[in-house]
Amino acid sequence: MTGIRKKLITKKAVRKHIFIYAMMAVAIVHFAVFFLYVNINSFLMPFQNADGMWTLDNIKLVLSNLSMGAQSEIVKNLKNTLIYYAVGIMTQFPLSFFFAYCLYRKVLGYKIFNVIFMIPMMVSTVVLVAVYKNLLSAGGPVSVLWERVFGKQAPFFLYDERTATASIVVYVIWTSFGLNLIIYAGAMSRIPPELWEQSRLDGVGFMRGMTTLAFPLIWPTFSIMLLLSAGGILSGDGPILLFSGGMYGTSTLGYWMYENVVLKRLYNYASALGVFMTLVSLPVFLLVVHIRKRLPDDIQY
Amino acid sequence: MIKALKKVIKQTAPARIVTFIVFFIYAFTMVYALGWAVLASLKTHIEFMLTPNAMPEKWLFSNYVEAFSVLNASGANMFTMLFNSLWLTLVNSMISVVVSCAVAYVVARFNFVGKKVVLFVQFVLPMVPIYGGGAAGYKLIHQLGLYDNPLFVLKSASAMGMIFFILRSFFLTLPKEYEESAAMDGAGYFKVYAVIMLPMALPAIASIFLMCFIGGWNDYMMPIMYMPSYPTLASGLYIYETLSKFNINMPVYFAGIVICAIPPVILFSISRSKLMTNMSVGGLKG
Repeated sequence: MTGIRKKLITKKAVRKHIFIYAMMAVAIVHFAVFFLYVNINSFLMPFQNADGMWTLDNIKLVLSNLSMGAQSEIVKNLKNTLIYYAVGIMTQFPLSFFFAYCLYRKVLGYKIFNVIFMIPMMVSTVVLVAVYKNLLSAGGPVSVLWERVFGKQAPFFLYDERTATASIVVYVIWTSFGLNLIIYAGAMSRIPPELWEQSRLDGVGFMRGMTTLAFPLIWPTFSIMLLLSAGGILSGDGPILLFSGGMYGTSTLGYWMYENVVLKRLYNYASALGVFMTLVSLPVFLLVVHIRKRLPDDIQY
Repeated sequence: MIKALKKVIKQTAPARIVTFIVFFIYAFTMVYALGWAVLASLKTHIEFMLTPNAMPEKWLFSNYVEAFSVLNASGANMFTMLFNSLWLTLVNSMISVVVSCAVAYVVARFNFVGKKVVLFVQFVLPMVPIYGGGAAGYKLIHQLGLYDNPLFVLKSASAMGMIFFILRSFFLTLPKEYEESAAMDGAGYFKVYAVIMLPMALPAIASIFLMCFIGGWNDYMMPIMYMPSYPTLASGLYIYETLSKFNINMPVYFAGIVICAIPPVILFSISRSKLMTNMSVGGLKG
């Protein structure tokens, strides 16, 4: 009897596992080809030339570029990349969370703001960049406003090395509230209304409610977003291709990669820089993981 | 009227008033920018060059008709770009959602040998900063013959990332009883998934699909990098603008820009409230 039961249980377990692995089969193959193979190869390619022969030339080339210090093309790109990353972190976390909270707490006009704040997510970057470029161009509304306020000719915002990166940074801030806003608002919408009622009776105000109630309760969401962005310290990027094609001192590491991979087909040289970028950003990632582990996972109530 | 306004201001916390002012300024810049683009699309070329910030003297809706014949990228006119945008976005979104949904379901609902590995792959690996993958991936796409090939859409069959997180969160919230009673009625694993669980997860799946669709529609890098002969509206407009730098009819170009923006705006506006409630990563502990 026990034997038959055991057999049935085993048969059921086998069927269950066949179902599970069948459901995951496509994803596993995809992972093996486009993640495992690609990433393993990305560590081998820096030590190969275009014909697949082993060489240290790519590493030497990256090191010689880096040895030029502030004049190095890579260092210049790194500086811009870090600027975009810092701006991204600021808008993705405190600002997006604050915006989402205010909309959730129904500030005056929240219904219309809810729609308008989503425009950057709804509309293509190509569209927004085209509009922004024309707003900033000579004779455009921003230039006209500049001339009225400062009484002198407006700079060529996007076509001058002194102002180009700053102008793109403003664009990045202007358009970065879409997806994060939805995710935070989605998490907040699941907070039971009784908690807000209770906190109101306890005299918790608008701003205190954000720090003492909303933030701890959506911490699981917030922490996942934080971890997801921790590894991307060197992937901070503005839409450089659409704005300037890397000119006027606006290039980033991401754009440099695009240029070397897609336009110049220097796969191995680009991979060598990739290894360097990995080595630089790994400690930052590990630090965030460490801090994340020390903080509580969630708030039970 | 002023008295009533004063009363409202008095009763409202200062933080709310400051927030409203900040929000209003931000919203104004966004609406002004898009309104400016719509007005620009209704002018003549000369009018646009001379008075870019004024209202159109005559509203030239014919620019929108002209956009379909004038705008051209990699030999594709606007109709072709529109078609490319549609099929690429639909197929990519569908593949991505189907694959992610299957993995999210089994990870959320079953204990199995290798589950820890799957969770490690999902939660830890995407966060590890590996930067050389772009070059290796681009090379692989060429080696596999997927470059500039409609089969490139197979690259969307990934279950890693935000879609997985959101769907897994959703499947975790569904009660176990439905599966158990279906199993007692003799339903197999796949039947439980397809007939019971999928319909229950439909709101989340629809939201994810919509997000993928809007993201895909607006994506310009993928067609530029991997599908140059299949320009979409987003990539095609960029190519057109770059190639006709000094010979561009700006109002017609802006008409194309507005046409590109319309579908996602309509889709998003229709489904906004549902989208907000159905998107959650990591859930909320209760």
